[in-house]
Amino acid sequence: MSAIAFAGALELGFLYGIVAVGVFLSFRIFNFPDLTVDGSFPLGAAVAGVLLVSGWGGVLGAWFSLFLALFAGFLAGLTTAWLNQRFGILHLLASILTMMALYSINLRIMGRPNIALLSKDTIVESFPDIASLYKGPIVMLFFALLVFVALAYFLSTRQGLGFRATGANPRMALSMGVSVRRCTYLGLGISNGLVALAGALFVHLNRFADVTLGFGVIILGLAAVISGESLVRPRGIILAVLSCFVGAVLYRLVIAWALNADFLGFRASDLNFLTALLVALALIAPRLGLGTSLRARLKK
Amino acid sequence: MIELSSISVRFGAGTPLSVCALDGLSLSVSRGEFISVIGSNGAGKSTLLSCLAGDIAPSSGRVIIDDLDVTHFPTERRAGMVSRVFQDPLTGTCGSLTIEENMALSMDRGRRRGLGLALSSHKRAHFRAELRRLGLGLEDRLGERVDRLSGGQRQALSLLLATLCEARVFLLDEHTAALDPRMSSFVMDLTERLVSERGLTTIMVTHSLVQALRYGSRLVMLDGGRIVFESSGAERSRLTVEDLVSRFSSSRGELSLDSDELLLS
Repeated sequence: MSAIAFAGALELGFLYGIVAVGVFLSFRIFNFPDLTVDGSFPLGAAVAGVLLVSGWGGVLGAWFSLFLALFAGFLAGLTTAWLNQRFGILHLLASILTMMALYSINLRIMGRPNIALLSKDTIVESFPDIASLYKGPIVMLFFALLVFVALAYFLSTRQGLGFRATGANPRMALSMGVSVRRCTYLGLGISNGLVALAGALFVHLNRFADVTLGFGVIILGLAAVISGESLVRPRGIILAVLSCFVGAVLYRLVIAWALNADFLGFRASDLNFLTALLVALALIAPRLGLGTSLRARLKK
Repeated sequence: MIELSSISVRFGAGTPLSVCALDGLSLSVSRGEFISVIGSNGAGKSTLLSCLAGDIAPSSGRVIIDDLDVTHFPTERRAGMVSRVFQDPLTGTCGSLTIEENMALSMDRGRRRGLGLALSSHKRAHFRAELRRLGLGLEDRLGERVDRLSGGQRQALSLLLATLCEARVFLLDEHTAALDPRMSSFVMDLTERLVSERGLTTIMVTHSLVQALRYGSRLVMLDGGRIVFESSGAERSRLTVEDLVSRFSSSRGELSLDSDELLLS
């Protein structure tokens, strides 16, 4: 693998680690299979893209675009939670409805299917100048660390404990005075806010936004969560959040390696197939005891 | 003081299958009382507890806890006043959380949960001291996930969780029904110890007439959503299981005991 491919994989790994944390929050903490993320990732991208093209340049504009994307994603999550909690629509269906609506909303926001940012100042430029191949990865690592620390801390707080109880045992949570309704709203909001933030970062990094960016984001997130879990086998909540990033980076490295290894003969268009294969393998691995034997070998 | 005044609960009102789970039931419980509630399936025992806990809003009547009308408070708003142990040990504890996390969660029952860290060394010491009282060795397993524990251990833990902080009323919903006889009597002894130590006002629903006679200060028998028999004090201490069974049959207008054999245990 070339250095460029390696740097690119790291960069995307950290970025999708943020997506993975969002997916972890809905799937694992809240037990809520939330497909809204397929819409909130391009939502974040659309918001940030439009803001940057419309002349919100400079460091301030770049940061503001991230906040706005986070907020937009939060609202998307609230919508799904509202459909589910207020009207009792099945969680999966509620999230698909929001995702579907978001496709049109994203087109409205962008005004066209894609936006290119040619010479605009992005968040990457607002960081100290290092003329290195690894500037992108370092910037993304910064955001990944930010999200990791914030979420690992939050889930260890008294409020965070209420969040975790909500998903794991709603009856017990209620009897302990945790408002399951409020936690679901807030949790889905945060989850989708993080995914939209990742969408915005994607635009800053790659200098383009496209309405189809969201396709399969949920699977990418799940791939990272599941492979991270089966490798790290987290015992506490902090390690569980960390394993999302481990999974995301590893997944990107494996994909980059597979696409670069000529003898395998993969093309870029095979990406979705490889992803599906990887997720399926990660799901099967614990059953075959692959994870345990691998860890045992690593320990030697 | 807990006051239930003419509570009615009707499921499926207005339909041919409408069921009256509670039918104008009134009950007042003074501070520190320990009431055991018995009755056959469908008598309204669990509905009574659900009304107190807030899971079910009565169709009519009022629920008053220490002069505060909580009839329309949802479960989470009453949590500071009501603590509860469920029949299923899996319901009363959170399996994916560790023992110490479960305890920290319960310490905040009914309180505002801030953004401070849930655990501290000070709290851990307190948890360890509390767990030691169970005598199950759980004090050395604070960081272990609760789904690693056995059903009996989990139920003992639920009991401890429910009594960690003060409550106006303590509800026990057939909390030994899912346990084996040995664990069941362990949990009952623990219940009695915690209740008397903390002076808890307790309402216990049970299927076991023996338990209902042995524990508590007052006995209430439900049938068809109404109180059909009540006993306390010296009169109660003279009661036997056979008395209860015949009481139960007469309330139904039945002469034979055959159909009630299940109640004997």
